Amino acid sequence: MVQQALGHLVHDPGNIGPALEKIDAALAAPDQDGVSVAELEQAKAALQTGNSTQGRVLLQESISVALSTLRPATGEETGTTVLLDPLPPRSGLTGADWGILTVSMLAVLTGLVLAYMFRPAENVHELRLLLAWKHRRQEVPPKHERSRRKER
Amino acid sequence: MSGHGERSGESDMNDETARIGGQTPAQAPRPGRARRLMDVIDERLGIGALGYAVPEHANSLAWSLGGVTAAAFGILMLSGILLVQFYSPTPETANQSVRGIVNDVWGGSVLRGVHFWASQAMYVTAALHLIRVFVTGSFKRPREGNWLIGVALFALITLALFTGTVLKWDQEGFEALGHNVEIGNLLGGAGFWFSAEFANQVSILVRIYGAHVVILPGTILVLMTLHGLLVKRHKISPHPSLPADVSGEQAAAVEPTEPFTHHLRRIGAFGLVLAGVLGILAVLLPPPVGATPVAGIEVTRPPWNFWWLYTLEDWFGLPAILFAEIAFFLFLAAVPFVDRSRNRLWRRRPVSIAAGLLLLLSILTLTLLILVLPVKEHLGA
Repeated sequence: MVQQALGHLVHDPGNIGPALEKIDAALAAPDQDGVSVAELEQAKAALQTGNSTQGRVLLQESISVALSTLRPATGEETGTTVLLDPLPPRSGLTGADWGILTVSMLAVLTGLVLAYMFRPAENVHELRLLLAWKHRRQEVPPKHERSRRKER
Repeated sequence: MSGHGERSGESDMNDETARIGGQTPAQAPRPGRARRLMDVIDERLGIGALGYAVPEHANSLAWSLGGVTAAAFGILMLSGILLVQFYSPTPETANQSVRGIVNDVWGGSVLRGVHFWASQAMYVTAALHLIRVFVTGSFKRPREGNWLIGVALFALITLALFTGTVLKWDQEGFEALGHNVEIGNLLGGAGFWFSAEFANQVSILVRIYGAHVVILPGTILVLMTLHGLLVKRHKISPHPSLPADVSGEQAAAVEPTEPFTHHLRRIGAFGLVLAGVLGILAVLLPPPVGATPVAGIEVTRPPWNFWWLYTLEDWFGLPAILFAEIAFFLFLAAVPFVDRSRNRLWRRRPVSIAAGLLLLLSILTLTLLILVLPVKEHLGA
């Protein structure tokens, strides 16, 4: 429950309500083995005064004994001991990034040129006209046969 | 006389075998070194078989989407092989190792970005390929079996996307896994593989990792090969707006053809464009890594590919995910058995096209609805 409180603080730092609910539930829980109740209460007080940084540190410390006795995670266990914030996005592009961007753009351009070069000789519309023309030509008898018919 | 004649014929035959184009072997121009190398390889590996004729309409982008999907799969395999060198699939270290790939491995951020965006590209191109095959009626006799393989491939691609989401082992991935475990429980005995109890001595993350790097790509590779071989066997389906042969199952003999190698060449060009776009996206829009997971809370949304299911889950509860997925894939699997007319042109198949359009619009609407729905807790509810 303490980890759940930390989870709410990490994902929605502006709203401490769900975290306080979880802390209250942890304080009222019958099994508090490995949890420092004093630090938990201090964490609650810190959060209530708006000091969420201090609150998070105290929450993490309050379960340090419980976490130290954890076995390697099995089944559906998370294995989380320290709750890390989401990885912040990078600030800017490095030289290597610019290099990869350049190569990527060259690949796009080369690919487009090759796709144009290797394009089919006729598109579907042209194929339709071509096949219709071939079909008509097959239906019309050759010239010498036509002249023979006329003679008859 | 007859004996003389026979001898004379024999002599002519010998002359024919000894001469090439009216020249003796000594006089015939020797083929270039590259040509000879190709001949040596072809003689041993039979790659010349790739030169079979395909109708010209198959070289358009729309008819090459299956090939572009295969190109995305190739990029995924390559980037995936590199990523597994640095990824640690145990719950205690998985999220940290992803952070390590992004921050500490040279080019790791771009590599991960390429893998992530290639998975999105594969999903999108496979979906577009599926739509193209449906609209042009290419699934019709005798290609029903290959349509089913394609549907199975799409299901496997979705599963690969899902397992990849779990592997980063952040809150989003863990919640996705939670949904999967509950769906496994709903399936009862049939969902045993998805339950943590099936092999409780190891973390389910390790098993998901095994599925993501071995079982799923291996099965995709086998089915993709079978898919391609069946395309060769049945030949490329006729274009619905072009005349077909008498059977209606093949392109007309008068339609110009090109060797399949030219088709591959064009797919290669599209693949190069795709690789470049993936590189650009990987640099400019690297995929995020969320906070380490905590059990018992539900605060994230799934990847966009699953938003339509999430909306249904919001309305009808967690079982809706299972039933909607089953209904979706049953619909796809039923297509060739319901739409059995010989008509391939969409205008002449109003019922099936309307049903397909309805399904597509429903998925799009449900996907967009997530933007206005609040995040709700469903697990354990």
